[in-house]
Amino acid sequence: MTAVLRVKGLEGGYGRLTVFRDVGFQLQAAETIGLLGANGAGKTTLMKTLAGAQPAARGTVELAGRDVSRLSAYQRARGGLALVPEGRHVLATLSVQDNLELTRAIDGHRVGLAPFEERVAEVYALFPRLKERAHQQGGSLSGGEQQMLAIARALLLKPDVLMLDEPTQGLAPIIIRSLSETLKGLRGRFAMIVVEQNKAFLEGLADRVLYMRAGNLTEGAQV
Amino acid sequence: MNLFTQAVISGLMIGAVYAFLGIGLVLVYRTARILNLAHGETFAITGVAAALLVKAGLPLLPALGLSLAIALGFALSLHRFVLRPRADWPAGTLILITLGAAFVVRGVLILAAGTDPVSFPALFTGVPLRIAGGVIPPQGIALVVLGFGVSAAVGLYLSRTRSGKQLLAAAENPYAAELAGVNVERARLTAYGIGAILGGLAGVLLIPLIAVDFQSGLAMTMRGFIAAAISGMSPVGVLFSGIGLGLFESMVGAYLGALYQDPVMFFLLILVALWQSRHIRFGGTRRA
Amino acid sequence: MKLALWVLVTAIVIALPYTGVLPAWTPAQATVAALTALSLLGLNLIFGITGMLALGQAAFTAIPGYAAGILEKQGMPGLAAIGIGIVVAVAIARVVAEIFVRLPGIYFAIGTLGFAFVVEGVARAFPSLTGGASGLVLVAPIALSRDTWYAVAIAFLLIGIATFHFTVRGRFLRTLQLVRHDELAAQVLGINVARVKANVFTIGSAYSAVGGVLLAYYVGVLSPESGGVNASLESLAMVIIGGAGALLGPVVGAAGVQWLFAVAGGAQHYELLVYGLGFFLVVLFAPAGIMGFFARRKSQVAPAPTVVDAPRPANREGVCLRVENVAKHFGGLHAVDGVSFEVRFGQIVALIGPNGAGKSTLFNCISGIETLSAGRVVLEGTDVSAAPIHRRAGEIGRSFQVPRLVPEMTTLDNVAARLDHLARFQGDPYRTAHVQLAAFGLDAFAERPVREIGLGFHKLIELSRASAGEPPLLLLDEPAVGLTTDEVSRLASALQRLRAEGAAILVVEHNIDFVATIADEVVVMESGRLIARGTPASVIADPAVQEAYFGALA
Repeated sequence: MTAVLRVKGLEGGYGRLTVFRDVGFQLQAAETIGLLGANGAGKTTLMKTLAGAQPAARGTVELAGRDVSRLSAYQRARGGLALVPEGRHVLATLSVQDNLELTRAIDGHRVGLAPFEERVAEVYALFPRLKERAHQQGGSLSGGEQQMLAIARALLLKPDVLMLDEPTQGLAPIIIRSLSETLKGLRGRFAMIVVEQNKAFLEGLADRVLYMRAGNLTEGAQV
Repeated sequence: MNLFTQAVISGLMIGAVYAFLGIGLVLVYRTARILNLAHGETFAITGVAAALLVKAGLPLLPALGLSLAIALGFALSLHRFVLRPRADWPAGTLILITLGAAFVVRGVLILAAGTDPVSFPALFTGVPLRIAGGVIPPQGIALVVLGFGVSAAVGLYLSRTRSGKQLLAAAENPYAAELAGVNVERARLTAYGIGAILGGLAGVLLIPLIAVDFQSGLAMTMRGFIAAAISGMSPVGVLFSGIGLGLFESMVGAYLGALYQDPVMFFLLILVALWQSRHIRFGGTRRA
Repeated sequence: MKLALWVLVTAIVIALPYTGVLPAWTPAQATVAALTALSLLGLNLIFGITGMLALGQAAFTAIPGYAAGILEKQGMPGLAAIGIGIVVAVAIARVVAEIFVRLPGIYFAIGTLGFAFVVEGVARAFPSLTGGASGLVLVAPIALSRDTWYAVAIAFLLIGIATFHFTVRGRFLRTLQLVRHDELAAQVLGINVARVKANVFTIGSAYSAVGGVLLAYYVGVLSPESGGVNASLESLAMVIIGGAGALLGPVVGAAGVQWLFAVAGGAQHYELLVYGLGFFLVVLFAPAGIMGFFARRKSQVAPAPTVVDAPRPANREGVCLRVENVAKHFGGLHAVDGVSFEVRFGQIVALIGPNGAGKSTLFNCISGIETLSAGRVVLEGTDVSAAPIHRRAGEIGRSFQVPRLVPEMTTLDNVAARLDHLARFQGDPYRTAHVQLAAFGLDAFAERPVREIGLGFHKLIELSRASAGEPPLLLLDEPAVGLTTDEVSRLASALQRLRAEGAAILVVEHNIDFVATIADEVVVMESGRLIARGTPASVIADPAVQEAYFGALA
């Protein structure tokens, strides 16, 4: 199986501050990996850099064999590398439906894509709560519902790789439980990277775990 | 000659201009999150450039086209080369940069055209229309009609089209929009572009009726802001507040005299400020 | 030694116009520059230090001259007229400030811009009073020679610089920096932001008025443009080019630009472009201006004192915070719907609940960021329901989900700023701040600007700031979010220590392990209401809470 995501020698940070260096790993097509690490270790910066929201100082990112290192965030999103960001970042003044419709930007950029109506129906089937609130404003949703919306939005991009940055942050335990079920249900459909501080969340979800420590990435044991 | 009707006519014409400027200001404010104090300069640049080109012998249409292009180029360059690379600078500094740009434009315009107001021929000529005791030239009619029409079009664009909704998304949270696959940079450029074209269009239509000088840019920006503030930064509402502002100013000019227009405008701004502060208890401030 | 050097340099600078060393730098030029610089000290205070976008400041340089001239024509003696003119200008400045300072900064910017438009317009429109476009002729009440004028100008400028230097420092400077950087944080620390801004604008306009009226009488004629938009923009340009926020920025700016124009001569029409380019390029590429190349930001720090135990506040017992039937409605949405509970001194209460339950809104109601729709908030026996944020700040130490620190200030200054505005605090802010930082293990960071310190420490710094001065009540909004297990246990220890010292602590949290470790009592909210209250163990076992918050499989 060829790796769907290949990262080599990646270095990134803010301005002159290097947050991580020489990061490299590979992800297989149906694999789910967890990424653990302390605050300030650079996990979120790494995710943002992989997604293209932040420029890398050095290194390459290959998605399904294509070098995407020079592409900007929206191009990578359209190309199948989707990030569910830390803090969810749902558009508060747009309705749930409008939030989802933003992803229509990929129509015409990908081959063999089902029509949007079909894709959205699929996502609503997965998250019936969202369907109920389809015309409600994003800002009026609860934290758990916003998390669902953020994931739904990423799923609509039909990603080859789905990255989730601290999806349990700020959520009540009951919601975390249901989130865990949802993500376990998505295993195998595509490659997933789940960044978390909550190690327990990764149990049963991740095939293997990577550790981020002071800007360096190391492999861990099987979970 | 009915003073009231004439004042209403002038008010609608200048109000359309304020609406144009207000819409552009709101769009840029919402997508780029800064208040572009150089916004009104597109009006002044278009006007002065057209006047000079026409004086140099260029036929009207090419002169107008070229002037609009220059104004558009200015706005897009300001965004692309000056503001975008500094997107993470504090908002106050970015506003200051736009002020600096306005300042530079002023300096260039005074060199190019001196201190006296300049103008150029109208696009729409013909017999003025007499209505209810007032007179409105064809250019004026075009201005009012286009004022409503274009504003409505922009409103529809934002709320109904995919591209418009992407612009609003990019305005609210560029990071989220980007991750959803929206080309945020293009959305921003579109906003600047629309703003610049509206400002330039306002110039093309109004300046043959009321001449422009090197100072007009900031004066227009200020009025555009007042219109935008009254409407609460709403792209649709600003059409009405712009027209309202124009009518008000025109009435003041007609019944009190042109000299009173600026002070009354300022007074209106004070009223808007007091109204916006009404919920704030003593000692508090409103978070932006 | 340093003082002697400054005196020498100043003497040289003052003597310069007489030496002929610098071409075109005559005493006349220098007088104009000095008086301009005096006015610009005001703009520097308002804009350079406090960050207020005053786009019409030239108006306040012109108003006193016009007022004085008009009064003189009515027969008032010159000196009195000048005095009254200055008072009039300052009074108008106060009024303008009061109108706009409560709103976001852009209103202030447009408001001051509009004011300059109006002043210039009015000056032009009433020639009988103001001389109209040709200007108002002003004759100095005491005829002064060229050299005496120069001496007067230098004297006033030196006084201006001295007063500036001795007032804008320490506590006042920290306050202004906070206002400039983060108004909400400033309010939460007890600063009445609107009043500070209004005062700053008034003081700054006083400098503008004095400098402006002296200049007007020196030149002998006052034109409408001198109070208008172009002149205001040019003033701003000089402050920026010289160095906004630097003490000598206005002097360097005024003198430098003045001299440049004197040397270059040239057509008047180029003036605006040169100013504009200077403004634009400096803001883009060298935001600290000319003085930025010389100054290095040094912290206002005193040497670290020996650690002294802070005196324990007396009478910390009983109920500290009482929330009585508090409700907050946003239209039809009942974010908080009749919540009552209390927090005692020496007690940690955790507020938990699903997202959207109303916890943040309740917090904002307690600290004053939101007004109440119903009910009361009683703090130490006093009903504070109607008190604005900064008035409650003395009793409440608040931390935010995302820390609100001032990046340019040192850690020490950030913490000291809290003590600056604590009414009942008697000690030395620096000393106490040092002690506070040491208690949290942060003293290594004391003299470093916060922007150089990793984000992972910001929460702890903010907590040390919030608890500085030992406020009776601590409101902590998700303090453990984003912290590693080690950092969380350090946080827990800190909170336990604060509890032992008698503080009442109310914490919003999701981290149940953390809550179970430190909380004496847990209060559970759902959909705006309280659904459970009790010890951590009993609340966690409560079936209603289980269903709403933990999920059926506990």
